[in-house]
Amino acid sequence: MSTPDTFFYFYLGFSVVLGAMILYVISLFLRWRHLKQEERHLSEPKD
Amino acid sequence: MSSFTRTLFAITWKDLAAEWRSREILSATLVFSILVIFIYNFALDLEVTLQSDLAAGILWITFVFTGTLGLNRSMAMEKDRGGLDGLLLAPVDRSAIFFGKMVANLVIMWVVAVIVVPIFSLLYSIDLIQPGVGLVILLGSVGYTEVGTLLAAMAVQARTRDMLLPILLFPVALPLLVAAVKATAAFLAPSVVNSVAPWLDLLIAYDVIFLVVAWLVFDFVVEE
Amino acid sequence: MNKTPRLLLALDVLAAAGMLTTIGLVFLYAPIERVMGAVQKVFYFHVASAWIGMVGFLVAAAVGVLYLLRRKPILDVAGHAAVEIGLVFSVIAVLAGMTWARPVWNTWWTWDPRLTTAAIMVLVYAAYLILRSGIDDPEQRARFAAVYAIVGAVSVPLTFFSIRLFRTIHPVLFGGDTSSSLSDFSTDPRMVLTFFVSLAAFSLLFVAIFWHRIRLGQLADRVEELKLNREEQQ
Repeated sequence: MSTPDTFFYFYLGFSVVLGAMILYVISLFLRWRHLKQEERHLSEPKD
Repeated sequence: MSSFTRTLFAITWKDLAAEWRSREILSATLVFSILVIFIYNFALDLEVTLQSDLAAGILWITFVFTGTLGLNRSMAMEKDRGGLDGLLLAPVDRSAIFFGKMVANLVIMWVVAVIVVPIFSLLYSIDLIQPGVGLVILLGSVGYTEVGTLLAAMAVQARTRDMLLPILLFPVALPLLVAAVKATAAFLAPSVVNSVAPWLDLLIAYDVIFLVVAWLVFDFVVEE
Repeated sequence: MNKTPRLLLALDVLAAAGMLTTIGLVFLYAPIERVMGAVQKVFYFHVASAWIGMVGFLVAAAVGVLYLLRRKPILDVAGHAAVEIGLVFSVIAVLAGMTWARPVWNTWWTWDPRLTTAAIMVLVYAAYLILRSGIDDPEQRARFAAVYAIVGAVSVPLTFFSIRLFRTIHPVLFGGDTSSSLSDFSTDPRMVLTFFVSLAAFSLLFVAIFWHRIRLGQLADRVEELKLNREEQQ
């Protein structure tokens, strides 16, 4: 019995794993940037 | 009788007496459980004679949903009346309060079970009134109220209190549910394949483990 | 508190290197398994992700216990971070498991004990986050979150055993047992090496992301405090 060609599913699984991780790390970065902006804004003396 | 036990029973008695006067929780949960049984009949297009696996599953789903209702109401009433604050001021062991409420919830669950199980047996021509099934209901309801009372005490403090208890409780109560359903089915249709022992072991393990966890942790939940 | 500490930057580089090495090994070094073909390689990512998912739980529970005893705010931030990261990796593990199941058993889902337990872990994690979002008082929120992390972590092994027991008594008729498909695994050293490298790389990645996420949580708390101060002044 020859080895089945399941490369498609391997690439799919790999993309999902890598994609999800990258998306999460990007989300962390974006949230950090947003909070930094807010911190700056809130730290300014009230006018 | 130690002060711990006295406090425990005092709280159980207080809750049950209050419930007996109004019968709010009891009537709501009874009606709800019968409704659930009926809904399952029509949703699944069930035949008159139910197979034991299916019967066990539906019975426990009914208990799980009904139990959530009862737990929620019991805690909500306590909070809204400010009863919990009063209890916390008293110089009693906090875990006695937990166990007191837990036993009260348990008794209510049993009363519902005693009424619902015969009705279920009648509607589906399956004899659920057996000691084995009774044992499983006992063990299952203990575990469920242990975790349920603890989580209800937290859920009731949240803004989303009604939806939150099932969300918190169901994933954590899953092993209990699996074991209870399989044990019930095994008692209803005993065979070499359907052994009851491992499921009972799991139920007992769950009950003991969460008894300890709840006892250790409840103080932190009702802290001021 | 603005500049990323150098140790963390170094950790980031190490974690990235680890991931690249793992990817390289999986693509180029690990052999193709006979029975299932290339899709078996998803296993290296699936198991490592699931492992991190579980680590998240353990860390959240441990930190929860510490919080209840010590009440340091950083412990609450750490607990929240551990759950969030654990959730992401558990979801990744479930999705990877699904892409594995599809060609092998011709179904997107199998009620295999490990896959099912991973899905339930996702539900418990999500419940934790929903609990946090429902409580406004920060101190109460931290306390309740710690309690639920402990309850959740205790329930996961029980869930696993219950489902495994369920499966041994009722073997899956249409699907298969995922463990039986790893027959080549113990004998081929290349697979073993790739597996352990992936485990190490993911663990390193977890530590790096965890640290970053804690810093993010602390920043969020600071912003929250600034907002409250603003409101009080007005």
